[in-house]
Amino acid sequence: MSKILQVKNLTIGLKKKKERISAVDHLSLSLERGKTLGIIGESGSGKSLTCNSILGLLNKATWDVKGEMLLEEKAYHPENRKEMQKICGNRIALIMQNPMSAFNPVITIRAHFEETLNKPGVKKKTRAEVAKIAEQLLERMYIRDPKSVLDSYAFQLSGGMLQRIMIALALAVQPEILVADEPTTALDLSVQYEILKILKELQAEYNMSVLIVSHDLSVIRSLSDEIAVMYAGNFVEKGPAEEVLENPMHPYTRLLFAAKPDFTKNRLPVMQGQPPTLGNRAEGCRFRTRCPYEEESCAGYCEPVTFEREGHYCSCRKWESINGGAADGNSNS
Amino acid sequence: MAILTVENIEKSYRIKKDKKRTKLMAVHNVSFEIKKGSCVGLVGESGCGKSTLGRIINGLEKADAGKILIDGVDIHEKSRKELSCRVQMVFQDSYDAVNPRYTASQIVEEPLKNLTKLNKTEREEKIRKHLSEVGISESEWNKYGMEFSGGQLQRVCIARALAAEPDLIVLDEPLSSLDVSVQAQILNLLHDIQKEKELTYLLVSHDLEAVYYLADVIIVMYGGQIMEKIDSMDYFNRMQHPYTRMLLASVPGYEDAGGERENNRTIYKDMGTQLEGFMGCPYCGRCRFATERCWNERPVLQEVEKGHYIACHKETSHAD
Repeated sequence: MSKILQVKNLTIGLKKKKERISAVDHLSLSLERGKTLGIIGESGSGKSLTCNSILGLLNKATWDVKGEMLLEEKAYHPENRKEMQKICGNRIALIMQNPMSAFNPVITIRAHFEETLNKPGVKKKTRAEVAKIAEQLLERMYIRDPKSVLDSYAFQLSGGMLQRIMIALALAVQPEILVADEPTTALDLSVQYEILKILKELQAEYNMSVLIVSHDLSVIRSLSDEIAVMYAGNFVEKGPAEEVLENPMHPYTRLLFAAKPDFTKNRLPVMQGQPPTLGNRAEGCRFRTRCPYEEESCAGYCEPVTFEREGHYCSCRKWESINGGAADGNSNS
Repeated sequence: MAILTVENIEKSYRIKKDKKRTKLMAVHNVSFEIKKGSCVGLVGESGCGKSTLGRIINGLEKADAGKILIDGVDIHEKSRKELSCRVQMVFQDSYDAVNPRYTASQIVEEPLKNLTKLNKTEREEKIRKHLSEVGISESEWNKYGMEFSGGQLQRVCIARALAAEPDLIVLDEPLSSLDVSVQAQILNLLHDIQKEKELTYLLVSHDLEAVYYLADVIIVMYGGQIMEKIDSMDYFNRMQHPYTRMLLASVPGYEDAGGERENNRTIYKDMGTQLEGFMGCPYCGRCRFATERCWNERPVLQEVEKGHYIACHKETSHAD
């Protein structure tokens, strides 16, 4: 299994007059060909920043990005625009969070397809060729009457429709990697389900690698082969999907999973406090202010995801005692 | 005893479709009752009329036809002030719902100033009481709306709704802008204050899991009409309207019994089933059981067992 994308020691800081606020801290991830990595985290945990930095979309004036990125074992530089022009939209494609604002309001959907397919450096396609590719893709997305959709403007279409068009646009270039940043948050539940189904089908067909980011556990659960849980700028846990879902090791993951109501009237176990905002993070283990197992030694230092059990990593220094003692409590909930 | 009675509410909006003027039936002939101390969950997809209904009940929109009675009195006979004392609302986006120039205590003070005749010290006492009830610590009382996180500000909004001491609170998607861990906190808070104060809720949401947690009665809406209604959560697993089944099947955590997931038809063409003049079932364009009768005759809400109502020709015809 070859690693198609690797990110090593990614650090993103917000530049503010004299200080530098850390947003993502020494994060490393790797994505295998044809597999899906799901990143779950709450708002402000830095998951969208990670996605954008992979594509070099962060503004250099406000963000300070450091780290190593490798595409098929070859280093690339997201800050280099020329280099990224060849990668963005060809080898890596992005699906954005808000379909309403991701489209250009003054050009038609057809023009979007033309723009995407006739990128510099690619052999120019005729109008008819573009229309053919676009119609085929839109039909795959279960859009009826793709011809009239192609001549519409973004504001004439519904959110679910636009989201499907955005996926079609991303897939038009047959990318090797698809970065999906909260692809379904703006959608209704039943449409969300349909979109996830389509994504899964197309992933298998194109042998694509997908990096999916969401705060919704059910979305991550239905797609991922591997799950990484992000909290305050770094992963606190990662491992194979089933393993993380069934035996979460980190206290944050456990509480996060338990906090979701699941068709019972039982009282929800609640995590105290709020997710930390930028510049407001605790020293040492970032979760300790909300952690029920917190003790003095947790303030000492911050662990990367080092503690391992059969390919399942966790950053909690006390995971052994927590998993020994609280495993029963978890199964009850 | 019914605190709120909704009788045959109709609401339509004028729209243009294919360059012709027509009317979109946002809410069509909806009737239900809310008992004191209960929580009614109103579920459906976006555009099904659930938010419109919530706003009509709160007097923010006027219905075209039908009546809304609070304790047997029509809301149009009441003044805005009287209505606000009885019904309060919590909105989806808390940042848009508060005045950015007000501090938390001013936000909560506003209904007290407008709706009660309390003097300053009495008002302060009330603010203190309501803000601590929802778990806002004293150090945060003088913060402005923008300084709060989404979950904290939603708590302030709940405190504001409580300050008027209403009988009914309309919660319009109170969770959808919040993080998962904070959603659970707000759900527990809503549950606790309901039990403590014997409040009545109308919970408008598309999140079935959250609705299950809070609600006693569930109403499923589609295309402006009530499709299914259960008066007790015991019937939850017996909900059988094709639309409800499809909705449940799209929740990843719910067991898919009837293979509904495979036959799911969410992606469909708008066939004008919500426009004026259409006489069939609004769901028939997506329903896999749709027959000719569904296209030509609007199904009525019928009781299939005690406390369980369905509006569907397929489900009700063999019950006849």
